[in-house]
Amino acid sequence: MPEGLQLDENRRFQERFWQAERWAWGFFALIVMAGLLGLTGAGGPFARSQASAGASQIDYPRVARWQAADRITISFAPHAATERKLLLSRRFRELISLQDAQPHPVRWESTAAGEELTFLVRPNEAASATLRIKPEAAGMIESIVSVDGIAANTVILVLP
Amino acid sequence: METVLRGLAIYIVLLLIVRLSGRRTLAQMTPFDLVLLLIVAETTQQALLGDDFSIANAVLLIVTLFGIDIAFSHLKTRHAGLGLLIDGTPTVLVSHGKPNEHALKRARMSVDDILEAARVQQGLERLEQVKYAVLEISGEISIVPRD
Repeated sequence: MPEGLQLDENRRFQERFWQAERWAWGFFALIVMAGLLGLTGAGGPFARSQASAGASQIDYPRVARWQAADRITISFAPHAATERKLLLSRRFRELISLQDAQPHPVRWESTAAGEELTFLVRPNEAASATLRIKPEAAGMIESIVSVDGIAANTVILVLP
Repeated sequence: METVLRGLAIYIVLLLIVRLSGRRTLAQMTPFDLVLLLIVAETTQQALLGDDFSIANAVLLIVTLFGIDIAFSHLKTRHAGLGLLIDGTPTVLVSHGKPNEHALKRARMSVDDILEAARVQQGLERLEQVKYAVLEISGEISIVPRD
């Protein structure tokens, strides 16, 4: 404390805190970088992931945000069948709410295994469907999405 | 329950970020700081309320935030270490007209900031007329003039 000045200065603590501030600024920069790379969801090179269910592809968010809208795109490989089935496991439906599906499925059934959506497609043509989802819980959500009976594992990290 | 947890989480996160961004941010409200404050206020509003704009939610949130504030102020008076961590400690930037360059640099302050505070508070003209300049925990610079 300087002579004559009644002041409770703790310079040792302040020096340590200034150092902590610099570390924190580095951490802030890392968070921004993670955001730009898509590691916090909502766009970016690493924001999405793909899973294969046979020849069909499932494009889903690697990182999503709690109660924020997101999407899953299913690319159906060409097939002779006109009806393509998509099954979302029970765990998926418990933790992620399904807001909408485009195109509209011809059937939307709740089964013991989960929610089954049936899409009408032209035979032997590639088709795709987009599901609008909203995670209802934060954490690592591991679930199964099946396309025409072929299962694929999906892992979505939902940030709070 | 969600409202209380949201309020608590946002309060703590904001406290940490504001504290760790340094007191320089609080010291002088430049136009940039004002813009930052407005954006942060708007951003946190969304995170605090979510999709629920009911009066019940707003009242619960306000009571939660005031409650946390009261609890922290009580804890700070009982535990000096916590007060030091949350509020920080005053820092002497100028002693007997001599600036502490290291402290100024670490606090992201300049002699110009000291001179501005000296002019505004005491009508002083030169650094030599400043006995002490202290960066207070509020982020303001207080000036003690030479006799």
